Amino acid sequence: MILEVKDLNVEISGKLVLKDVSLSIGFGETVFLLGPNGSGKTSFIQSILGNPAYKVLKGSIISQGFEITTLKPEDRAKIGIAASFQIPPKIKGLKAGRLLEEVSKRFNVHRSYMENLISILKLEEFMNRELYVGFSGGEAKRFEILLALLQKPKLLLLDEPDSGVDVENLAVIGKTLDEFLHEDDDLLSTRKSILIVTHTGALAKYINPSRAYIMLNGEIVCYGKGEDVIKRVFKDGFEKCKSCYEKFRGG
Amino acid sequence: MATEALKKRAEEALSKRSAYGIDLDVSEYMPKHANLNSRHLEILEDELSSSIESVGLNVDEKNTLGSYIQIDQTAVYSQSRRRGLTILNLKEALKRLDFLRNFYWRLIPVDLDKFTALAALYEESGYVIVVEKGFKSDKPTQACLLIRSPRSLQTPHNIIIAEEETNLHVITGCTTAPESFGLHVGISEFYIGRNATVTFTMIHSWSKASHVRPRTAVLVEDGGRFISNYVVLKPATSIQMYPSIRLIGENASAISTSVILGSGNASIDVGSSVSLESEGSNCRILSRVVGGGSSETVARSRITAVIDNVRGHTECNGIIVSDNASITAIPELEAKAKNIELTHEAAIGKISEEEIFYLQTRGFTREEAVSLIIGGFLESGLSELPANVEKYLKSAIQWALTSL
Repeated sequence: MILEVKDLNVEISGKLVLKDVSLSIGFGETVFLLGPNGSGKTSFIQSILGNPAYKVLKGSIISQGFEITTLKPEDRAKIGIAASFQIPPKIKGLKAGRLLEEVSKRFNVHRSYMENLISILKLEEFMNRELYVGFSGGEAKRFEILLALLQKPKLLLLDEPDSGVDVENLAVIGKTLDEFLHEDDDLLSTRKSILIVTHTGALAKYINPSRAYIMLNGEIVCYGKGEDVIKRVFKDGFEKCKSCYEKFRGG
Repeated sequence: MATEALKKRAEEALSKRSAYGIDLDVSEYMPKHANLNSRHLEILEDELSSSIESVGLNVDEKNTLGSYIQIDQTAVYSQSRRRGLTILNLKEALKRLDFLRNFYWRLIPVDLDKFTALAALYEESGYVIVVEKGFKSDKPTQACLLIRSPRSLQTPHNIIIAEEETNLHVITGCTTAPESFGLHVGISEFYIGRNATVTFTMIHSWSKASHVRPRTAVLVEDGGRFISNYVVLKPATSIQMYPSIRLIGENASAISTSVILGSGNASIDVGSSVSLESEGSNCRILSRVVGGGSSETVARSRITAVIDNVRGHTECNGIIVSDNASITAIPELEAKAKNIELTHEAAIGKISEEEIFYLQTRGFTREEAVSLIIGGFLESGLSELPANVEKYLKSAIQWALTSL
C-alpha cells in the first residue's frame, strides 16, 4: 500500500476534526475523497502531510510499510508524498521560479522535464512573480500541481484541484495528471497513486478513480467503486449519504 | 586637504555626540597606512582578493569601468578605463581638478558630530568620481574600502559628481580583513546633475568588533535620479548612518533601500532622510530588516515636503527570527505645503509557521525553509540593479543566511 490510514483521530485547536478515519490507497490506484465543504477533507490531507497544527490523538498513518505518523513533513516528501494545497500561502519576496529551481534540484528533476511541465501547464509567465502573490485561483492550482509533480511523487494528494478552475484549464490539469499516472507503469511498485479531494467530482471526466470515499463531519461514511459512488453522490447529493449512513448505523 | 578654517571647526566638534546611535570613545582608533601601491589591480590580488570578493568586487575588472581601492588610510589603486569617467583619490583630485573645491565639504558640515570632525582632521584619501556630460555607463564602477590593521581609523572622503544627462552605477564594498577591526567614518557627497541617474550600491561586510559611521549627503537637480541600495549582511558591532537627500530640482527623484541582516549583538541604526524641495519631486524609502541573534535595529526614515505637487512614500518591513533581537521602525513624515502626498507603512512580525510548513512539504528542512523565506524577503528590497549586481547580491544573501 502506498497509504494506509487506520482509525485516525485528529484535533485542531481542541476541536476533533477527524474521527476514526480509515482509508487505503494501493500502488497505481486513483482514489477520490468526496464530501461537502467543511467535512474534514483538507484536515485529512494536512494530517497526511504532517502539519503540526493538526494533532494526531489516535490511529496511524502507514506508507510503503513504514509508520509515518510522527515523521517530519520534509521526510514525508522524501519518501514520495507530495500535495497540491487547496489554498497555498502567499510567500512575499520568494520568486516562483526560484522555488521551482530549488525543488527540481532537491528531487533531481531534469531541466527539460521541468520546462515541459511548465509549458503544458501554461506557467511560463509566472517565473518572476512572487509566490502566489496576485495569482488567480486557477493559476495557483496549476502552479501547485507543477510543484507537486516536480517532487516526483509516488503518492500525489490533490486538495480540490478542480474548484475555481475553468473548463479549459480543467482539461489541462486532467491531461497532465493522466500522463503522470502513466509515466512508468511497468512495475507495480513504481506505479503512481493519486488521492483527489473534491466536492465537485469534475475531474472524474478525465481520470477514472478505482475507488471513492465519502466524508461527512470528519468521518468516512461510505466507500465503493469509484464510478458507482460518484454517480450516486452527484445524483442524490451528500444529504442523501447522511441519511443513508444514519440509517445504516442506527440499524 | 582640509583648510585651517575647516580644521578649526572640526576640532571644536570633536566631543560632539551624534544625534543617533550609540556613542563611542574614538580615541581607541588611530589612522594606519598600507605600504602598497600599484598600477595594476592584479598585483594586489593576493593581498586583497579574499576580502574584496566578499563584498562583490571583481579583481579582473572585466565587468567594471574602473576601480578605487583603499586599505586603511592609503589609496592603493584608482583607475578609470573609460574616457569621460574620472576616478582619482581625493588628494590627487584636489590637486588636479580646480573646480573640486566647490564640491568639497559642501553638503556635510564638518562639525555635524565627532565623526565628521574626525574625518576632516584625519582626511587623507577617498575616491572622487566625475562623469562628464552625456556619459552613459554600461557597467558599474567599483570601490573597495578595506580595514586591514587592528584599531584602524579609516576616514575616506568621497565625492561623486554626475554631470547633466549621464548615468553612473557605483558599487562600494566596505569590509575588514580577517581578525581585524576598526572605526570607519566615510564622508560621501553626491552631486547629481540635470537628468542624470546615479545608482549607488553599498555592501557592508564587517568584522564583529568594528564600528561604522558613514555620513552621506546627496543633492539632486532637475530630472535627476538617485537610487541607493545599502546592504548589510555581516554587521559591525555598531552601525549608524542617516544619509540626507535633497531633491532641489523639478521632477527629481530618489529611491533609498536598506537591506539589513542583523546578527550577533550588533547595534544598527540606519535609514534615510529626503527633502522634497521642488515641484514634481518624489521619493521612496524602503527597508527590509531581519532581526537575528541579539541584534538591535532601528530603521529610520524621514520625508519632508516643502512645496506643492510632491510625493513620498516610506515602507519598513521587518522579520524577527530570534527572541533576543529587536527591530524598531521610526517613519517620520513632515508636510510644509498642502498639496502633497506622503504615506508610510510598516510591518514587523515573525515568519509565518504556515509558510514554513508549506515549504517543508516541498522537501525543505525547517532551517532551509526559513532561509528561502528570509532570502526572498531581503531580495525583494533591492531596487533597479544591473543584472550582474543583482545576481551577486542574491547569492551573497543566500550565503549569509547559511551562517545565520
